[in-house]
Amino acid sequence: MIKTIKKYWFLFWKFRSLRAMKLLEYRANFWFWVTVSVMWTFFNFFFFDLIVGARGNIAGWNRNEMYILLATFTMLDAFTWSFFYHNMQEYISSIFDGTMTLTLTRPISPQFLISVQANSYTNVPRFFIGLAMLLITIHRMQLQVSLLSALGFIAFCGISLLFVYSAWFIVSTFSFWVDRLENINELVPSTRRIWQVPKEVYTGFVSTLFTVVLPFALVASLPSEILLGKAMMHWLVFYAIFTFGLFYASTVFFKISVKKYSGTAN
Amino acid sequence: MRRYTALITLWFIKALEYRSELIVWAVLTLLNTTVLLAIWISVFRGADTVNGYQIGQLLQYFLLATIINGITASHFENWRSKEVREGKIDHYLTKPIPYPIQVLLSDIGNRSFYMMLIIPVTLAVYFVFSLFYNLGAIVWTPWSIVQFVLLLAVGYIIEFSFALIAVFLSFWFEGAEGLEHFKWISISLLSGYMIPIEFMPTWMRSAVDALPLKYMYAVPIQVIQQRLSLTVYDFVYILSFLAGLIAVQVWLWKKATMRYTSAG
Repeated sequence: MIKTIKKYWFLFWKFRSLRAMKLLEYRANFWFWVTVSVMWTFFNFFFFDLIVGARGNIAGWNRNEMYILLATFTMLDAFTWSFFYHNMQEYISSIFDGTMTLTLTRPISPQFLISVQANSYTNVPRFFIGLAMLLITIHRMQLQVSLLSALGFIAFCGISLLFVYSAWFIVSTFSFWVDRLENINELVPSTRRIWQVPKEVYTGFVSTLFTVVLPFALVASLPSEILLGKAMMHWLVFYAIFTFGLFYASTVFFKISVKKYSGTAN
Repeated sequence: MRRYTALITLWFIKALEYRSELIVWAVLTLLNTTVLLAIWISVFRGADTVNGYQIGQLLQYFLLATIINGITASHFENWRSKEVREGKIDHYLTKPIPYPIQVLLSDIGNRSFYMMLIIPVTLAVYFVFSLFYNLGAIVWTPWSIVQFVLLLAVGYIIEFSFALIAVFLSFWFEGAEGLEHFKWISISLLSGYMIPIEFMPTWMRSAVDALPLKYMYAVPIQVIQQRLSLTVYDFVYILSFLAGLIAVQVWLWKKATMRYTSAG
Protein backbone atom coordinates (compact mmCIF):
# COMPACT_ATOMS: atom_id res chain seq x y z
CA MET A 1 0.00 0.00 0.00
CA ILE A 2 2.73 2.47 1.06
CA LYS A 3 4.78 1.41 -1.95
CA THR A 4 1.83 2.20 -4.26
CA ILE A 5 1.28 5.59 -2.65
CA LYS A 6 5.00 6.34 -3.05
CA LYS A 7 4.83 5.40 -6.73
CA TYR A 8 1.85 7.69 -7.36
CA TRP A 9 3.44 10.50 -5.36
CA PHE A 10 6.64 10.18 -7.39
CA LEU A 11 4.69 10.19 -10.66
CA PHE A 12 2.67 13.23 -9.62
CA TRP A 13 5.82 15.31 -9.07
CA LYS A 14 7.52 13.89 -12.14
CA PHE A 15 4.69 15.30 -14.27
CA ARG A 16 5.02 18.65 -12.51
CA SER A 17 8.72 18.85 -13.28
CA LEU A 18 8.12 17.87 -16.91
CA ARG A 19 5.59 20.68 -17.23
CA ALA A 20 7.99 23.11 -15.59
CA MET A 21 10.59 22.21 -18.23
CA LYS A 22 8.03 22.86 -20.94
CA LEU A 23 7.32 26.24 -19.37
CA LEU A 24 11.01 27.16 -19.62
CA GLU A 25 10.92 26.21 -23.29
CA TYR A 26 8.13 28.74 -24.06
CA ARG A 27 8.93 31.56 -21.63
CA ALA A 28 7.41 34.42 -23.65
CA ASN A 29 4.19 32.45 -24.04
CA PHE A 30 4.12 31.88 -20.27
CA TRP A 31 4.43 35.58 -19.46
CA PHE A 32 1.81 36.49 -22.02
CA TRP A 33 -0.76 34.13 -20.48
CA VAL A 34 0.20 35.25 -16.97
CA THR A 35 -0.68 38.80 -18.06
CA VAL A 36 -4.00 37.62 -19.50
CA SER A 37 -4.98 35.72 -16.34
CA VAL A 38 -3.99 38.59 -14.04
CA MET A 39 -5.98 40.96 -16.25
CA TRP A 40 -9.10 38.80 -15.91
CA THR A 41 -8.63 38.73 -12.13
CA PHE A 42 -8.59 42.51 -11.88
CA PHE A 43 -11.52 42.67 -14.30
CA ASN A 44 -13.58 40.44 -11.98
CA PHE A 45 -12.83 42.50 -8.88
CA PHE A 46 -13.52 45.73 -10.73
CA PHE A 47 -16.75 44.46 -12.31
CA PHE A 48 -18.23 43.30 -9.00
CA ASP A 49 -17.03 46.45 -7.29
CA LEU A 50 -19.12 48.42 -9.79
CA ILE A 51 -22.19 46.25 -9.16
CA VAL A 52 -21.82 46.44 -5.37
CA GLY A 53 -21.50 50.21 -5.80
CA ALA A 54 -25.10 50.39 -7.12
CA ARG A 55 -26.75 49.46 -3.78
CA GLY A 56 -23.87 48.73 -1.41
CA ASN A 57 -24.41 44.97 -1.48
CA ILE A 58 -25.23 41.95 -3.61
CA ALA A 59 -27.89 39.66 -2.09
CA GLY A 60 -26.99 40.89 1.40
CA TRP A 61 -23.22 40.51 0.94
CA ASN A 62 -21.49 43.85 1.47
CA ARG A 63 -18.35 44.99 -0.37
CA ASN A 64 -15.84 43.37 2.03
CA GLU A 65 -17.79 40.10 2.17
CA MET A 66 -17.89 40.11 -1.63
CA TYR A 67 -14.10 40.56 -1.67
CA ILE A 68 -13.76 37.47 0.56
CA LEU A 69 -15.96 35.54 -1.86
CA LEU A 70 -14.12 36.81 -4.93
CA ALA A 71 -10.74 36.06 -3.37
CA THR A 72 -11.89 32.50 -2.63
CA PHE A 73 -13.27 32.23 -6.15
CA THR A 74 -9.99 33.50 -7.61
CA MET A 75 -7.91 30.92 -5.74
CA LEU A 76 -10.23 28.03 -6.65
CA ASP A 77 -10.51 29.21 -10.23
CA ALA A 78 -6.74 29.56 -10.58
CA PHE A 79 -6.39 25.96 -9.40
CA THR A 80 -9.06 24.63 -11.76
CA TRP A 81 -7.51 26.38 -14.78
CA SER A 82 -4.03 25.23 -13.82
CA PHE A 83 -4.94 21.61 -13.33
CA PHE A 84 -8.33 20.46 -14.48
CA TYR A 85 -8.62 22.33 -17.78
CA HIS A 86 -5.43 20.95 -19.31
CA ASN A 87 -5.91 17.41 -18.03
CA MET A 88 -9.51 17.21 -19.20
CA GLN A 89 -8.56 18.71 -22.57
CA GLU A 90 -5.94 16.01 -23.09
CA TYR A 91 -8.35 13.35 -21.83
CA ILE A 92 -11.07 14.38 -24.30
CA SER A 93 -8.62 14.69 -27.19
CA SER A 94 -7.20 11.24 -26.45
CA ILE A 95 -10.70 9.72 -26.64
CA PHE A 96 -11.46 11.41 -29.97
CA ASP A 97 -8.09 10.77 -31.63
CA GLY A 98 -7.61 7.24 -30.28
CA THR A 99 -4.47 7.88 -28.20
CA MET A 100 -6.33 6.82 -25.05
CA THR A 101 -4.92 3.35 -25.72
CA LEU A 102 -1.57 4.55 -24.34
CA THR A 103 -3.16 5.58 -21.05
CA LEU A 104 -5.15 2.36 -20.68
CA THR A 105 -2.12 0.13 -21.16
CA ARG A 106 -0.01 1.79 -18.46
CA PRO A 107 0.43 -0.15 -15.18
CA ILE A 108 -1.28 2.54 -13.06
CA SER A 109 -4.81 3.76 -12.51
CA PRO A 110 -6.01 5.37 -15.79
CA GLN A 111 -8.13 7.91 -13.88
CA PHE A 112 -5.08 9.01 -11.91
CA LEU A 113 -2.97 9.33 -15.03
CA ILE A 114 -5.71 11.24 -16.87
CA SER A 115 -6.16 13.59 -13.95
CA VAL A 116 -2.56 14.55 -13.18
CA GLN A 117 -0.49 14.27 -16.35
CA ALA A 118 -0.88 17.92 -17.42
CA ASN A 119 -0.90 21.32 -15.78
CA SER A 120 -0.07 24.93 -16.47
CA TYR A 121 1.71 27.46 -14.29
CA THR A 122 0.21 30.58 -15.85
CA ASN A 123 -2.47 30.88 -13.15
CA VAL A 124 -0.07 30.64 -10.20
CA PRO A 125 0.26 34.45 -9.85
CA ARG A 126 -3.53 34.62 -9.94
CA PHE A 127 -3.76 32.22 -7.00
CA PHE A 128 -1.45 34.48 -4.99
CA ILE A 129 -3.43 37.60 -5.94
CA GLY A 130 -6.53 35.85 -4.55
CA LEU A 131 -4.66 34.85 -1.39
CA ALA A 132 -3.31 38.39 -0.90
CA MET A 133 -6.77 39.85 -1.44
CA LEU A 134 -8.18 37.41 1.12
CA LEU A 135 -5.61 38.31 3.76
CA ILE A 136 -5.92 42.07 3.12
CA THR A 137 -9.72 41.91 3.40
CA ILE A 138 -9.60 39.81 6.58
CA HIS A 139 -7.20 42.40 8.05
CA ARG A 140 -9.37 45.33 6.88
CA MET A 141 -12.55 43.77 8.31
CA GLN A 142 -10.68 42.93 11.51
CA LEU A 143 -12.19 39.49 11.18
CA GLN A 144 -11.33 37.14 14.04
CA VAL A 145 -10.48 33.90 12.25
CA SER A 146 -10.22 30.97 14.64
CA LEU A 147 -8.06 27.95 13.91
CA LEU A 148 -11.21 25.90 13.42
CA SER A 149 -12.68 28.26 10.81
CA ALA A 150 -9.31 28.49 9.02
CA LEU A 151 -9.14 24.69 8.86
CA GLY A 152 -12.81 24.55 7.83
CA PHE A 153 -12.09 27.04 5.05
CA ILE A 154 -9.16 24.97 3.74
CA ALA A 155 -11.12 21.72 4.04
CA PHE A 156 -14.11 23.11 2.14
CA CYS A 157 -11.87 24.64 -0.53
CA GLY A 158 -10.57 21.10 -0.97
CA ILE A 159 -14.10 19.71 -1.11
CA SER A 160 -15.04 22.36 -3.68
CA LEU A 161 -12.08 21.37 -5.85
CA LEU A 162 -13.13 17.73 -5.56
CA PHE A 163 -16.67 18.71 -6.54
CA VAL A 164 -15.52 20.67 -9.60
CA TYR A 165 -13.12 17.88 -10.55
CA SER A 166 -15.80 15.19 -10.27
CA ALA A 167 -18.36 17.17 -12.27
CA TRP A 168 -15.75 17.97 -14.92
CA PHE A 169 -14.56 14.36 -15.09
CA ILE A 170 -18.13 13.09 -15.56
CA VAL A 171 -18.81 15.62 -18.33
CA SER A 172 -15.50 14.79 -20.04
CA THR A 173 -16.24 11.06 -19.77
CA PHE A 174 -19.35 11.66 -21.87
CA SER A 175 -16.88 11.96 -24.77
CA PHE A 176 -16.91 8.15 -24.90
CA TRP A 177 -20.60 8.32 -25.79
CA VAL A 178 -20.62 11.07 -28.44
CA ASP A 179 -19.02 11.07 -31.87
CA ARG A 180 -17.58 14.58 -31.81
CA LEU A 181 -18.07 17.42 -29.40
CA GLU A 182 -14.83 19.38 -29.26
CA ASN A 183 -16.09 22.08 -26.91
CA ILE A 184 -17.43 19.64 -24.30
CA ASN A 185 -14.46 20.79 -22.20
CA GLU A 186 -15.92 24.30 -22.01
CA LEU A 187 -19.10 23.20 -20.22
CA VAL A 188 -17.83 23.01 -16.63
CA PRO A 189 -15.53 26.07 -16.79
CA SER A 190 -18.56 28.05 -17.94
CA THR A 191 -20.29 27.25 -14.66
CA ARG A 192 -17.70 29.51 -12.98
CA ARG A 193 -20.15 32.34 -13.50
CA ILE A 194 -22.53 30.51 -11.16
CA TRP A 195 -20.08 30.15 -8.29
CA GLN A 196 -18.61 33.60 -8.68
CA VAL A 197 -21.52 35.10 -6.74
CA PRO A 198 -23.14 34.36 -3.35
CA LYS A 199 -25.64 31.50 -3.35
CA GLU A 200 -28.29 33.96 -2.08
CA VAL A 201 -28.28 35.62 -5.52
CA TYR A 202 -30.36 32.73 -6.81
CA THR A 203 -34.01 32.45 -5.90
CA GLY A 204 -36.90 30.10 -6.68
CA PHE A 205 -36.34 27.33 -9.21
CA VAL A 206 -32.86 28.61 -10.17
CA SER A 207 -31.83 28.46 -6.51
CA THR A 208 -33.00 24.84 -6.20
CA LEU A 209 -31.17 23.99 -9.41
CA PHE A 210 -27.84 25.60 -8.49
CA THR A 211 -27.73 24.78 -4.78
CA VAL A 212 -29.41 21.37 -4.50
CA VAL A 213 -29.61 19.60 -7.87
CA LEU A 214 -26.28 20.84 -9.27
CA PRO A 215 -24.80 22.73 -6.30
CA PHE A 216 -22.30 24.85 -8.25
CA ALA A 217 -23.49 27.92 -6.32
CA LEU A 218 -21.95 26.45 -3.15
CA VAL A 219 -18.40 26.10 -4.52
CA ALA A 220 -17.04 29.49 -3.38
CA SER A 221 -19.95 30.54 -1.15
CA LEU A 222 -19.58 27.87 1.54
CA PRO A 223 -15.82 28.28 2.21
CA SER A 224 -16.35 32.08 2.33
CA GLU A 225 -19.27 31.69 4.72
CA ILE A 226 -17.07 29.61 7.03
CA LEU A 227 -14.54 32.44 7.20
CA LEU A 228 -17.28 35.01 7.73
CA GLY A 229 -18.83 32.90 10.47
CA LYS A 230 -22.21 32.56 8.79
CA ALA A 231 -22.04 29.01 7.44
CA MET A 232 -25.00 26.74 8.20
CA MET A 233 -24.18 23.19 9.27
CA HIS A 234 -26.87 21.56 7.12
CA TRP A 235 -25.41 23.13 3.95
CA LEU A 236 -21.89 21.98 4.85
CA VAL A 237 -23.00 18.40 5.54
CA PHE A 238 -25.13 18.25 2.39
CA TYR A 239 -22.32 19.63 0.22
CA ALA A 240 -19.68 17.28 1.63
CA ILE A 241 -21.91 14.19 1.17
CA PHE A 242 -22.94 15.31 -2.32
CA THR A 243 -19.31 15.85 -3.34
CA PHE A 244 -18.05 12.48 -2.15
CA GLY A 245 -21.05 10.84 -3.81
CA LEU A 246 -20.27 12.66 -7.03
CA PHE A 247 -16.64 11.59 -6.89
CA TYR A 248 -17.68 7.98 -6.45
CA ALA A 249 -20.13 8.35 -9.35
CA SER A 250 -17.35 9.77 -11.54
CA THR A 251 -15.15 6.70 -10.99
CA VAL A 252 -18.05 4.29 -11.62
CA PHE A 253 -19.10 6.21 -14.74
CA PHE A 254 -15.51 6.10 -16.05
CA LYS A 255 -15.33 2.32 -15.56
CA ILE A 256 -18.60 1.85 -17.46
CA SER A 257 -17.76 4.34 -20.21
CA VAL A 258 -14.25 3.12 -20.92
CA LYS A 259 -15.78 -0.11 -22.24
CA LYS A 260 -17.19 1.99 -25.12
CA TYR A 261 -13.69 3.01 -26.15
CA SER A 262 -12.28 1.77 -29.42
CA GLY A 263 -8.96 2.88 -30.85
CA THR A 264 -6.30 1.52 -33.10
CA ALA A 265 -3.01 0.48 -31.49
CA ASN A 266 -0.65 3.44 -31.20
CA MET B 1 -21.79 38.34 -56.46
CA ARG B 2 -22.70 34.67 -56.93
CA ARG B 3 -19.30 33.49 -55.75
CA TYR B 4 -19.71 35.50 -52.55
CA THR B 5 -23.13 34.04 -51.79
CA ALA B 6 -21.77 30.59 -52.67
CA LEU B 7 -19.02 31.00 -50.05
CA ILE B 8 -21.49 32.19 -47.43
CA THR B 9 -23.71 29.16 -48.18
CA LEU B 10 -20.71 26.83 -48.00
CA TRP B 11 -19.74 28.09 -44.53
CA PHE B 12 -23.36 27.95 -43.40
CA ILE B 13 -23.36 24.26 -44.35
CA LYS B 14 -20.02 23.77 -42.57
CA ALA B 15 -21.57 25.33 -39.46
CA LEU B 16 -24.39 22.78 -39.73
CA GLU B 17 -21.73 20.07 -39.56
CA TYR B 18 -20.62 21.47 -36.18
CA ARG B 19 -24.17 22.09 -34.96
CA SER B 20 -23.78 20.26 -31.65
CA GLU B 21 -20.83 22.48 -30.74
CA LEU B 22 -22.78 25.60 -31.69
CA ILE B 23 -25.71 24.43 -29.57
CA VAL B 24 -23.31 24.07 -26.62
CA TRP B 25 -22.03 27.64 -27.20
CA ALA B 26 -25.61 28.93 -27.37
CA VAL B 27 -26.47 27.19 -24.07
CA LEU B 28 -23.36 28.64 -22.42
CA THR B 29 -24.20 32.14 -23.66
CA LEU B 30 -27.65 31.81 -22.15
CA LEU B 31 -26.18 30.48 -18.90
CA ASN B 32 -24.04 33.62 -18.68
CA THR B 33 -27.07 35.81 -19.33
CA THR B 34 -29.12 33.95 -16.69
CA VAL B 35 -26.43 34.46 -14.03
CA LEU B 36 -26.06 38.13 -14.98
CA LEU B 37 -29.84 38.60 -14.73
CA ALA B 38 -29.89 36.83 -11.35
CA ILE B 39 -27.16 39.17 -10.07
CA TRP B 40 -29.07 42.28 -11.16
CA ILE B 41 -32.37 40.98 -9.80
CA SER B 42 -30.64 40.53 -6.44
CA VAL B 43 -29.27 44.10 -6.64
CA PHE B 44 -32.83 45.41 -7.12
CA ARG B 45 -34.26 43.50 -4.13
CA GLY B 46 -36.22 45.99 -2.01
CA ALA B 47 -35.84 48.86 -4.51
CA ASP B 48 -38.04 49.94 -7.43
CA THR B 49 -35.48 52.07 -9.20
CA VAL B 50 -31.67 52.07 -9.18
CA ASN B 51 -29.71 54.71 -11.12
CA GLY B 52 -32.76 55.59 -13.21
CA TYR B 53 -33.47 51.99 -14.21
CA GLN B 54 -36.43 49.88 -13.17
CA ILE B 55 -35.75 46.15 -12.83
CA GLY B 56 -37.76 45.37 -16.00
CA GLN B 57 -35.81 47.90 -18.05
CA LEU B 58 -32.52 46.46 -16.85
CA LEU B 59 -33.55 42.89 -17.63
CA GLN B 60 -34.65 44.08 -21.05
CA TYR B 61 -31.23 45.73 -21.42
CA PHE B 62 -29.33 42.50 -20.82
CA LEU B 63 -31.63 40.35 -22.94
CA LEU B 64 -31.19 42.80 -25.82
CA ALA B 65 -27.43 42.74 -25.18
CA THR B 66 -27.52 38.92 -25.56
CA ILE B 67 -29.36 39.24 -28.89
CA ILE B 68 -26.89 41.87 -30.14
CA ASN B 69 -24.01 39.66 -29.02
CA GLY B 70 -25.50 36.72 -30.93
CA ILE B 71 -25.59 38.83 -34.09
CA THR B 72 -22.30 40.71 -33.87
CA ALA B 73 -19.71 38.75 -31.84
CA SER B 74 -16.91 37.10 -33.86
CA HIS B 75 -14.72 34.37 -32.40
CA PHE B 76 -12.50 33.05 -35.17
CA GLU B 77 -9.13 34.34 -33.87
CA ASN B 78 -8.12 31.04 -32.33
CA TRP B 79 -8.38 28.63 -35.22
CA ARG B 80 -7.55 31.18 -37.91
CA SER B 81 -4.33 32.17 -36.10
CA LYS B 82 -3.43 28.50 -35.73
CA GLU B 83 -3.91 28.03 -39.49
CA VAL B 84 -1.59 30.96 -40.19
CA ARG B 85 1.08 29.65 -37.80
CA GLU B 86 0.94 26.17 -39.28
CA GLY B 87 1.16 27.51 -42.84
CA LYS B 88 -2.25 26.19 -43.81
CA ILE B 89 -3.67 29.22 -45.61
CA ASP B 90 -2.04 28.57 -49.01
CA HIS B 91 -5.26 27.36 -50.57
CA TYR B 92 -7.01 30.58 -49.56
CA LEU B 93 -4.25 32.68 -51.11
CA THR B 94 -4.51 30.99 -54.49
CA LYS B 95 -8.23 31.76 -54.82
CA PRO B 96 -9.47 34.81 -56.77
CA ILE B 97 -11.05 36.32 -53.65
CA PRO B 98 -8.69 38.09 -51.18
CA TYR B 99 -8.08 36.17 -47.94
CA PRO B 100 -9.64 38.83 -45.63
CA ILE B 101 -12.83 38.78 -47.73
CA GLN B 102 -12.94 34.98 -47.51
CA VAL B 103 -12.62 35.24 -43.73
CA LEU B 104 -15.48 37.76 -43.71
CA LEU B 105 -17.75 35.59 -45.86
CA SER B 106 -17.03 32.48 -43.79
CA ASP B 107 -17.81 34.38 -40.62
CA ILE B 108 -21.10 35.63 -42.07
CA GLY B 109 -22.01 32.03 -43.03
CA ASN B 110 -21.14 30.69 -39.58
CA ARG B 111 -22.85 33.59 -37.84
CA SER B 112 -26.07 33.13 -39.82
CA PHE B 113 -26.44 29.62 -38.44
CA TYR B 114 -25.58 30.69 -34.90
CA MET B 115 -28.12 33.52 -35.10
CA MET B 116 -30.79 31.00 -36.06
CA LEU B 117 -30.06 29.25 -32.76
CA ILE B 118 -29.48 32.05 -30.30
CA ILE B 119 -32.10 34.61 -31.35
CA PRO B 120 -35.22 32.43 -31.03
CA VAL B 121 -33.99 30.98 -27.73
CA THR B 122 -33.24 34.44 -26.31
CA LEU B 123 -36.61 35.69 -27.49
CA ALA B 124 -38.23 32.74 -25.70
CA VAL B 125 -36.32 33.68 -22.52
CA TYR B 126 -37.42 37.28 -23.08
CA PHE B 127 -41.03 36.11 -23.26
CA VAL B 128 -40.71 34.06 -20.04
CA PHE B 129 -39.22 37.05 -18.19
CA SER B 130 -41.96 39.32 -19.54
CA LEU B 131 -44.49 37.09 -17.73
CA PHE B 132 -42.89 37.89 -14.36
CA TYR B 133 -41.46 41.39 -14.87
CA ASN B 134 -42.68 44.49 -16.64
CA LEU B 135 -39.99 44.64 -19.31
CA GLY B 136 -41.60 47.64 -20.93
CA ALA B 137 -42.89 47.79 -24.49
CA ILE B 138 -40.44 48.44 -27.31
CA VAL B 139 -41.79 51.10 -29.66
CA TRP B 140 -40.45 50.47 -33.13
CA THR B 141 -40.38 53.54 -35.37
CA PRO B 142 -38.84 53.45 -38.87
CA TRP B 143 -36.04 55.77 -37.69
CA SER B 144 -35.22 53.68 -34.62
CA ILE B 145 -35.15 50.52 -36.77
CA VAL B 146 -32.76 52.19 -39.24
CA GLN B 147 -30.50 53.36 -36.42
CA PHE B 148 -30.58 49.96 -34.71
CA VAL B 149 -29.72 48.04 -37.89
CA LEU B 150 -26.91 50.48 -38.69
CA LEU B 151 -25.50 50.11 -35.20
CA LEU B 152 -25.67 46.31 -35.45
CA ALA B 153 -23.59 46.57 -38.62
CA VAL B 154 -21.14 48.89 -36.84
CA GLY B 155 -20.90 46.47 -33.90
CA TYR B 156 -20.23 43.57 -36.24
CA ILE B 157 -17.55 45.48 -38.18
CA ILE B 158 -15.77 46.42 -34.93
CA GLU B 159 -15.89 42.84 -33.57
CA PHE B 160 -14.80 41.37 -36.91
CA SER B 161 -12.00 43.92 -37.33
CA PHE B 162 -10.56 43.29 -33.87
CA ALA B 163 -10.61 39.54 -34.53
CA LEU B 164 -9.02 39.95 -37.97
CA ILE B 165 -6.28 42.20 -36.59
CA ALA B 166 -5.46 39.46 -34.03
CA VAL B 167 -5.22 36.95 -36.93
CA PHE B 168 -2.96 39.29 -38.91
CA LEU B 169 -0.71 39.78 -35.90
CA SER B 170 -0.22 36.00 -35.72
CA PHE B 171 1.95 36.40 -38.86
CA TRP B 172 4.49 37.97 -36.48
CA PHE B 173 3.68 36.77 -32.97
CA GLU B 174 3.20 33.34 -31.42
CA GLY B 175 -0.03 33.24 -29.43
CA ALA B 176 -1.55 36.34 -31.04
CA GLU B 177 -4.95 34.66 -30.64
CA GLY B 178 -4.60 35.46 -26.95
CA LEU B 179 -5.36 39.04 -27.95
CA GLU B 180 -9.01 37.97 -28.03
CA HIS B 181 -8.92 38.21 -24.23
CA PHE B 182 -7.99 41.89 -24.49
CA LYS B 183 -10.89 42.27 -26.93
CA TRP B 184 -13.33 40.57 -24.53
CA ILE B 185 -12.24 42.63 -21.55
CA SER B 186 -12.36 45.92 -23.46
CA ILE B 187 -15.76 45.16 -24.94
CA SER B 188 -17.19 43.80 -21.67
CA LEU B 189 -16.20 46.94 -19.77
CA LEU B 190 -16.35 49.75 -22.28
CA SER B 191 -19.26 48.89 -24.56
CA GLY B 192 -22.01 48.56 -21.95
CA TYR B 193 -22.28 44.81 -22.59
CA MET B 194 -21.92 43.77 -18.95
CA ILE B 195 -22.77 47.00 -17.17
CA PRO B 196 -24.98 49.87 -18.37
CA ILE B 197 -23.28 53.27 -18.61
CA GLU B 198 -25.53 54.70 -15.87
CA PHE B 199 -23.98 52.31 -13.33
CA MET B 200 -20.40 53.34 -14.09
CA PRO B 201 -18.43 55.83 -12.00
CA THR B 202 -18.03 59.30 -13.53
CA TRP B 203 -14.42 58.83 -14.67
CA MET B 204 -15.32 55.61 -16.43
CA ARG B 205 -18.40 57.11 -18.02
CA SER B 206 -16.24 59.86 -19.50
CA ALA B 207 -13.88 57.23 -20.93
CA VAL B 208 -16.78 55.25 -22.41
CA ASP B 209 -18.29 58.43 -23.88
CA ALA B 210 -15.01 59.25 -25.56
CA LEU B 211 -14.50 55.75 -27.00
CA PRO B 212 -16.41 54.20 -29.93
CA LEU B 213 -17.13 50.83 -28.26
CA LYS B 214 -20.37 52.22 -26.79
CA TYR B 215 -21.90 51.98 -30.28
CA MET B 216 -21.75 48.18 -29.98
CA TYR B 217 -24.18 47.67 -27.07
CA ALA B 218 -25.03 50.71 -24.93
CA VAL B 219 -26.14 53.01 -27.75
CA PRO B 220 -28.21 50.51 -29.81
CA ILE B 221 -30.04 49.39 -26.66
CA GLN B 222 -30.70 52.98 -25.65
CA VAL B 223 -31.97 53.66 -29.16
CA ILE B 224 -34.46 50.79 -28.85
CA GLN B 225 -35.46 51.87 -25.36
CA GLN B 226 -36.15 55.36 -26.77
CA ARG B 227 -33.57 56.90 -24.43
CA LEU B 228 -31.32 58.17 -27.20
CA SER B 229 -31.21 59.08 -30.88
CA LEU B 230 -28.10 59.32 -33.05
CA THR B 231 -26.84 62.76 -34.04
CA VAL B 232 -24.73 63.92 -36.99
CA TYR B 233 -21.71 63.93 -34.66
CA ASP B 234 -22.28 60.21 -33.92
CA PHE B 235 -22.36 59.35 -37.64
CA VAL B 236 -19.18 61.32 -38.36
CA TYR B 237 -17.42 59.73 -35.37
CA ILE B 238 -18.50 56.19 -36.33
CA LEU B 239 -17.46 56.61 -39.97
CA SER B 240 -14.06 58.07 -39.04
CA PHE B 241 -13.40 55.26 -36.58
CA LEU B 242 -14.40 52.53 -39.01
CA ALA B 243 -12.30 54.12 -41.77
CA GLY B 244 -9.28 54.12 -39.42
CA LEU B 245 -9.94 50.52 -38.40
CA ILE B 246 -10.18 49.35 -42.01
CA ALA B 247 -7.02 51.28 -42.95
CA VAL B 248 -5.11 49.46 -40.17
CA GLN B 249 -6.33 46.10 -41.50
CA VAL B 250 -5.36 46.91 -45.10
CA TRP B 251 -1.89 48.00 -43.98
CA LEU B 252 -1.39 44.95 -41.77
CA TRP B 253 -2.53 42.58 -44.51
CA LYS B 254 -0.06 44.10 -47.00
CA LYS B 255 2.79 43.62 -44.52
CA ALA B 256 1.58 40.12 -43.56
CA THR B 257 1.50 38.81 -47.15
CA MET B 258 5.14 39.81 -47.56
CA ARG B 259 6.04 37.91 -44.42
CA TYR B 260 4.11 34.68 -44.98
CA THR B 261 6.06 31.52 -45.86
CA SER B 262 4.93 27.89 -45.99
CA ALA B 263 6.23 24.57 -47.20
CA GLY B 264 4.71 22.59 -50.06
